[in-house]
Amino acid sequence: MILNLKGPGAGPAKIKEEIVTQRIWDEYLTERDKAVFKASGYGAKAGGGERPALLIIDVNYNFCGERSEPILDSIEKWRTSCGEEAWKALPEIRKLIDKCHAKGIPVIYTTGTVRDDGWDKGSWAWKSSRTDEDVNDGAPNERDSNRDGNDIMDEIAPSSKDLVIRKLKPSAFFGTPLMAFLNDLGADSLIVTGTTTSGCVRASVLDAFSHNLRCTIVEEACFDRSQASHAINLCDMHAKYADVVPIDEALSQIEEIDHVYNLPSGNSLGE
Amino acid sequence: MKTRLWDEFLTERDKKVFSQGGFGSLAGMGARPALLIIDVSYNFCGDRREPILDSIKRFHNSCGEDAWDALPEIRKLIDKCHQKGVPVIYTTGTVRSDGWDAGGWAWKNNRTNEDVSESKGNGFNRDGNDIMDEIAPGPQDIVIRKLKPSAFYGTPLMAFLNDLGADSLIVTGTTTSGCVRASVLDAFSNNLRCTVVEEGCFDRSQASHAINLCDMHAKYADVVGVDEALNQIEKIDQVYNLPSGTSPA
Repeated sequence: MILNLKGPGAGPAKIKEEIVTQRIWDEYLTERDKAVFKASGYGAKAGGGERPALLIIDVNYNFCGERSEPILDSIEKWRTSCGEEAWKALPEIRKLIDKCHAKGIPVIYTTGTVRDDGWDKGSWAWKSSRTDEDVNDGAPNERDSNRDGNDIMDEIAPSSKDLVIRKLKPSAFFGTPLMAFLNDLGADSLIVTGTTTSGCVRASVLDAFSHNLRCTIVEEACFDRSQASHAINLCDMHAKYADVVPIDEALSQIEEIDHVYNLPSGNSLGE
Repeated sequence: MKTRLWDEFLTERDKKVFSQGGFGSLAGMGARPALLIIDVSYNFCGDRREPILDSIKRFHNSCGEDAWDALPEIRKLIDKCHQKGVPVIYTTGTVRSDGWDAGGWAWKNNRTNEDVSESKGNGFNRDGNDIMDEIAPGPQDIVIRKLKPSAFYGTPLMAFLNDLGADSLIVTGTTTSGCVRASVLDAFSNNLRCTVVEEGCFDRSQASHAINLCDMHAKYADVVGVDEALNQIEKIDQVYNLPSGTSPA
């Protein structure tokens, strides 16, 4: 099924006919899985909505660490870090933000929040032995600074017209005003980036799907601590809930958008 | 260390990251669980045991033989919960005959028009959303119809759990990567403990089944074997506000 484009002896027409685009998840699937996905009708192209908003999920120090370093080093200091993959995604996310700003498309960030006493961690504390580190007083000493892990990365910091939503749980929709904000913006769909692919990205895409909002997930702009989880969650989402596309395709789609949204002014009412 | 179903799908780096990151602790079961059986209907099982690639010719959502392997395991859990007075809650899908409420499902699948057809040929003329006869609901059980993956989305499930006095879920059904995962996620967000019974869940994709169990066990739920789940249920000694199951008339 997967052909070398420059393979000897194959004519161009034949190559074109037989090419099946290779996806990041292919190597993790069994041969039966590939046959089942194809036959069951899943993975059709949904297409983006008319009026998307850009969603950047949890791209903060907790999930990136303070510098690019191998994940097993990074998680000693930042237990939820995704290591170098996070830092590879940052410039891709930056491109999407700049393009959306240029087109007047809403840019919405999420990040976490936690009380100093940790009470509102709730179920997070049940499945991890290291959640005490998430509150400031519990941070490992090896960190470079004492920044709040929920601070959004400087490289993609929100600007005045952007929206920032604090959340407690994986989904950007759960217990937050996101759906109401999308209604107010007149947005009908999401372009999704951020982390982790298998956690908060997946949860947010699922809730968007349940709300009948189309989702476009930008592959290079999502990252995860687990390579297998990253690949298979992209596969699951592409099969059932969203279109997983490369960044160039996303940028081309955004370029074609010509809508006026009810964006925040970004000016203080007192000024 | 105990081998898990998902190990063969992980990279070596993944295994280290999960372990060192502190993920996968045991949450433990709640004091008052309810059994949740997600979408174990003809749509996801087919009307007979056959290889998945044959079954999905008539039932596009079928999980084939893996579904039929799970049915007797789910039956064991139902019988144990009935015996102990633990609430048993089923979900299954619903769709208008004109398909309008398929919503987002129709965007990503080019066979959803088959979901509204009552006849799938070869003598099957039941509703694909009928729960399998092998595990049919009893009179005191609760059935919830839903449109979307999560058993919580747009349904009274959370309110029913409040009314039952249930604080946690024992989760079975299908698909592991779809409605099971979505329901476990929402339970987690609602601060409800979840125990996912490995043999009681199934999926059409082998890799998705394994990795979604892995993800859920790492972050949201305890994935346990059916024997362990049965032992845990055996120890429950609670009275719930169950439906009477009898008509007032």
